[in-house]
Amino acid sequence: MMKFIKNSLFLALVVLASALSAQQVAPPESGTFILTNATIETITNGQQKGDILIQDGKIAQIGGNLSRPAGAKVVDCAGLTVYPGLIDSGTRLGLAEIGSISLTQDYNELGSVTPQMQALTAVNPSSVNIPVTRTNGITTVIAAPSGGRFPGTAALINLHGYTPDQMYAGFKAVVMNFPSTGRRGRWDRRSDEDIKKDEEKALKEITELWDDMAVYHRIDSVGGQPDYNPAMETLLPVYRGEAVLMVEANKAKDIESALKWIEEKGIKAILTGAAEGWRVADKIADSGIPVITGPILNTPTRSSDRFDKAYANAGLMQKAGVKVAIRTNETENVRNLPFNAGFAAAYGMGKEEALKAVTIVPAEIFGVSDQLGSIEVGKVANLFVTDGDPFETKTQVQHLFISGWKIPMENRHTLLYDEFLERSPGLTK
Amino acid sequence: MKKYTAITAILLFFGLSATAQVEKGSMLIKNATVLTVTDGTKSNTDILVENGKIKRIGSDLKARNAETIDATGMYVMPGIIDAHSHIAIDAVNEATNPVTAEVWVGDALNPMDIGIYRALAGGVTISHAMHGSANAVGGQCETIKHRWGTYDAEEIRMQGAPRTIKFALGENPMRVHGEGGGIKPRTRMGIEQVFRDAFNDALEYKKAWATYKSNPNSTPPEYSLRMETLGDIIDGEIIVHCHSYRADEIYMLLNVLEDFGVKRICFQHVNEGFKVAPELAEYGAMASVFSDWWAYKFEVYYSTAYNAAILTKNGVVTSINSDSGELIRHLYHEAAKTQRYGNLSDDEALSLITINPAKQLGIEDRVGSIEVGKEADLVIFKNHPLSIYAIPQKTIIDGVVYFDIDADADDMRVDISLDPEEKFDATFDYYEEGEDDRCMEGVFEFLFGTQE
Amino acid sequence: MQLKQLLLSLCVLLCSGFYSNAQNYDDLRKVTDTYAFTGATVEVSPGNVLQNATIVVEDGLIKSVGTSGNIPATAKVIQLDSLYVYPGFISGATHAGIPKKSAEEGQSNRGNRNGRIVGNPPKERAGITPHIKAATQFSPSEKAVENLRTQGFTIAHVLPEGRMLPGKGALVALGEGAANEMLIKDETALFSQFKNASGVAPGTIIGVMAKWRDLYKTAQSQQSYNSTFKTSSRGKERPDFDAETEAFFPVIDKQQPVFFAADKVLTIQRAMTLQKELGFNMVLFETKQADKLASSISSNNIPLFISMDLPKAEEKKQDKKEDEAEDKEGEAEEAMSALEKSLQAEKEALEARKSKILAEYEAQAASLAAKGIRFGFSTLEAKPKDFNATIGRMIEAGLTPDQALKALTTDAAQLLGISNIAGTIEQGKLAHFAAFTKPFHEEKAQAKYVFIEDQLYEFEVKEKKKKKKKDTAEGEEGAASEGADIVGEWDFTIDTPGEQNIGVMTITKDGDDYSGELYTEDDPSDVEEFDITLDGDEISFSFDIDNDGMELNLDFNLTVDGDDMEGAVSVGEFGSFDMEATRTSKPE
Repeated sequence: MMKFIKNSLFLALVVLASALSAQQVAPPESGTFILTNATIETITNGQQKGDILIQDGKIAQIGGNLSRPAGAKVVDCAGLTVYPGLIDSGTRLGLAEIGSISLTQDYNELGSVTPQMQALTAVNPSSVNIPVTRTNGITTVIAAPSGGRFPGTAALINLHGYTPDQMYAGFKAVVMNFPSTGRRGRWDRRSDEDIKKDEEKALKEITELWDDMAVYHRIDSVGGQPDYNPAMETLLPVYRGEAVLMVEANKAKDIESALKWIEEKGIKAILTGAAEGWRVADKIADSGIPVITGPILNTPTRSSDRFDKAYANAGLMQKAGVKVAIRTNETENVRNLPFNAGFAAAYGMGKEEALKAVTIVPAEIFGVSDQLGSIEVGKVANLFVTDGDPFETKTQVQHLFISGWKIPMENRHTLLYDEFLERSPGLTK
Repeated sequence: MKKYTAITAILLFFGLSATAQVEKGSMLIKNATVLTVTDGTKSNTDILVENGKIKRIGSDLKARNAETIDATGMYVMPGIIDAHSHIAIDAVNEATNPVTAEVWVGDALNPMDIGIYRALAGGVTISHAMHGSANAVGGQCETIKHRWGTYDAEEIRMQGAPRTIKFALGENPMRVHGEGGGIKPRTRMGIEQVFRDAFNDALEYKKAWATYKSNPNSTPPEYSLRMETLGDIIDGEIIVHCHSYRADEIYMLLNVLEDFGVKRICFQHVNEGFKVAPELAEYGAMASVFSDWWAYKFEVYYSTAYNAAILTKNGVVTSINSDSGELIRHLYHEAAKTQRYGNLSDDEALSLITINPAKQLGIEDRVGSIEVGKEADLVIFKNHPLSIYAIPQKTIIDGVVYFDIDADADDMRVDISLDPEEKFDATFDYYEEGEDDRCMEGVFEFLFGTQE
Repeated sequence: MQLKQLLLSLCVLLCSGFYSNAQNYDDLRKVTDTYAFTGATVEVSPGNVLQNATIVVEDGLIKSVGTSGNIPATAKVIQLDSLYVYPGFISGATHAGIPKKSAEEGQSNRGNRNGRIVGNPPKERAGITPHIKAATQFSPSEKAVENLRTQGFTIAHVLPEGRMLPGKGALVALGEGAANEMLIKDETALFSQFKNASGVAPGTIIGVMAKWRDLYKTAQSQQSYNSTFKTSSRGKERPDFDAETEAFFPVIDKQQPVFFAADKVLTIQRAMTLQKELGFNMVLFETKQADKLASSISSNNIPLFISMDLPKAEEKKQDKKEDEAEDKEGEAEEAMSALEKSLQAEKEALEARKSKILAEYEAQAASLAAKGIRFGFSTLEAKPKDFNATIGRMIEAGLTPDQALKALTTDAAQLLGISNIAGTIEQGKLAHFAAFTKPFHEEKAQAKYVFIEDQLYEFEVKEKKKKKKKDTAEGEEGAASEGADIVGEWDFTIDTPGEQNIGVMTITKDGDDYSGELYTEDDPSDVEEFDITLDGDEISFSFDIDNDGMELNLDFNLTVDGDDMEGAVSVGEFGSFDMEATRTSKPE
């Protein structure tokens, strides 16, 4: 299929080859588009056959033989399938560029309680990682800060735009790393007692913070003017249960503590990570708290665990009645989201549920299901068109629309391919 | 000033311990879709395995006294081979010197590493346990067969596999020795000279011994295991596997190796190999790459997931490797990515994790494809192995089943590897930030003095 | 600081040989060199028990042993009624009596590394000191020697401290005499272990293996050149002399074995790999899983000393109660869900495996004995106060008391080549024996007397240790309120993975307040000062250090028991490490 894409771009490439030098991505096209004769995987209304009209950035109509407005560009989708753009519910996309170079990393500010740090501020719309990601059908991601107890506020972004505001997709949430009793790696040689001490200390700090929040809330509620405190100002809606908190917990025991804490404080929360969620799936289901889990392509958390526990975790939770969305927790390889979902599907979750876990479920969890997550009239035109199952590795994404823009299927990787497949000059000294 | 006499017989410590007797099995696999890799796909086909070898491939085969496995609806492919891993070894980096040719990770094999079982569960039967990339000339590596369940290190060695050694270019040796230790190499220029110095020293060493042998009254040189090993590389007895990223440094090493007559070279990672694919092909150099890893450091920022496809189309023998205890569990999926990124055919994609890595390790006449006479390293899959829905069912080495999804228990660790004082608990390795390749394992502990 | 070092070494000098020599001249002279020990149950050699026997010792040797009751008129009589006497126990390997290395060894790994030194360090820094002799380091007055003696040990194979090749061992008697008087056999073996250097080459197990080969072959090469040179020197350049290389010569000539410390299966295999390749004679010691490789150990005739350091048995009782309570609660509320049941099953399976593995460690000795493999015990890592319990656990796991006694006496003597002079209480052998309150293997058996040639040691028999806490709380006249006496200089060891950090800590008292300072051997100029909290016999203190820009908090918690301290230091996220300290000096 790459040949097909290549041919269609051949002329442009020949003209631009010298100027491009594998660095630039062609600009997206705007306008009215009509996708014809497509198989449409709506997610929320089953599979349909027909056309999709994209106008003003939205899905304007869906149906058979739609009339074509003047100037509408036709995209022939015969034999192809249209899917709603995939949503990765946890990434560092746009916040980090090169792993080993700290000055290109903007996800971890100093300090432990810094909820006021806005991921959206630091998302680099020109990150080379973004085109690499979206050409696999991922149109929307959570860009999340990390490190510390309250590292900042994550934001849902669409993967096209020239300013963060153009990319913003309507959801933000403060991130919290719940105190962990897990070991942080082979080098973590703390004794059990030390781990427990650290956890207790961390829990105490949170309790103290929440006590202070109570005061802050009281002062604010009676119309007083609390002192300038950006952290508490950001946390106030969370404290009041007006805004949702993304709570990261992975070890079974930590998940239980987190669930208890969330209930105690009466806040709205999303549980993230949940690597050992399967161990407490019943309890998560009972709490009604939704889960964002991943990466699926991961090793089990314990050396005694069955080899496929990380693959199966999402499915096990989902079957126990938990609302599960999938994330990659990646930066430069967020493009592997469909494969993560595919592995979850293969190891027990099933294709249909896995597809929901990267489309409508996260849209619901983030409260943007009126805008994203399925192909319905009135929703944002985040779509991609494939020649097959979007999870299958060999499937090619043919077309991509984000907020109604037709995005070129180009990125650094494809451009380098085009330049170097048959390098010129070839073998000369 | 030290002058020693020759040892009459220099002990060859490799292959010395060929005593371990490995188990060999017989079986008949019935009605499978057989992905031979070298001879196309054969549907509804049987494979007869006798005493660890593939005896016959055909239809309606009968087994004498061997277990029959019904593989109707299943796919059988050759055991997956990972040309770059660090599982099953207790030490990865002897990061103390830019040249450490004398060390050998085969000395630190750990057949009880649970990583072996997890790799088996992903259909991987052979891996190349490599030294890390802290040094320009690192240590020698070991090709292992994943015979799980033993505590005898000898049982996982693939006896008879050629010797291999790790080289490394670019940021890692520059960082460890140039930045960390204040000695050459601090630049890619310096790295070239480290190789030239090492090879020239080895040539002088060889010459000194030759002189001494022809004239016993002359002065014998000081014995050096390091120089002995470098000499063996020049003599073509050791295949070089070189950690590399940038096109310029790859090109540099080709020139250096050509000058010293070293022919057998496989570049590892080689993210910019696609840029010098014609030169690699011309030299006969091979490439073992990641399917899609990039941007984790500056020297891999200008990468492409189409690397394997470009190299393959340019005639470079290419493999996809893991370099990771996680990735090694789904190399079949990593190979499939070359179908998304470069449209490789099924056989081309499967070659990347079977016959090609076998060639890179010099074991292609024994494994890497399903052919009569080859060792019976096989994987039975539900669904095509290049499909995202593929699930390995049984992994077979020398005709013995080492992974069987139906017999897979919760805790598959080898008994005596367990620590009775251990607390059974979760470890979350992957939440560490600043991800790096495992090639640098142990180096930071070393630099900060916290290593074991 | 230098002055302090000087004082410290002076003090060590005063406390050791010098002091005991002085005793010989100034003390009352002995009445007689003949002793008779009467009334005890004597196990002359394993299995050969005499009731109400008399042992006569003359000039440090066993003159006679029997039940006839003949006592020479010249003998000083010592009554051992109701005690159980055994030949003095023999440790196949220990560091007892080797002063902890201080100060000079190595530089800190912090700050700028010098790549030249890292890659090619001086041999001593690399842990290659095969020419060092334990015999010249051995100091009988070290506390660790007394600790072994207290458990009935009278002979030990002492090994120098160090890394991959610390030096040559020596067989010594565990008496209090001058070091040279205690020596039974010098240069017994070349000691080796898989302990890499810190911050320099060889930095890993693979580095150690390669270095071993390189050193050995270099030594072979030099030895061969030396002999060529000896026979015809003219026209040849003279060979270099290098103590580290020459230390291998007796090993190459098979005059000395390599004493290889190897605990688990993989390490044992690695030692055997080197042995097979290079062909030296080898003794394995400090093994914990030798039974798994019994057939190759016995087919290669490798002498064996197994470790007396068993993994800790978990004290489960309390946890169990809590768990049970929890479980019952769960069950009471409602029947367990399928998930809970499977998790419960998982937990039980893991616990079962853990106990099984623990049992295998305990059964190493029994399993080897059952296969007819002879072995002794080594005590490099084990704590002497645990010996009795350890033997008990091994016997519980199937070792017979007779086999245990052989391992402690006759077999050890044979494996060390001293069965003609030690291992039994037979005529003509060295007068080494210990009198226990009960048969040695029974719970809480304690040595009341140990006799070593001409020295009688009597130990206070403690009844029960467990009540200790209550005792201190109730009485000991103010000790509880004031807290233990902790003032003085302490040598401490902190075990971090793969290495021991050694240093000196000084505690002083000012009014009611205690304060301290300490430094570690790798940088004695880097002294940390801190205030100490003392609560009963528990002391704690903490301070911060700067590790390459990373601030780390070190939190110490130790329990004092006389001149010993034990506990742990926790280092931020790196975890907590065992720490021990021994008082080397007290203010007068």
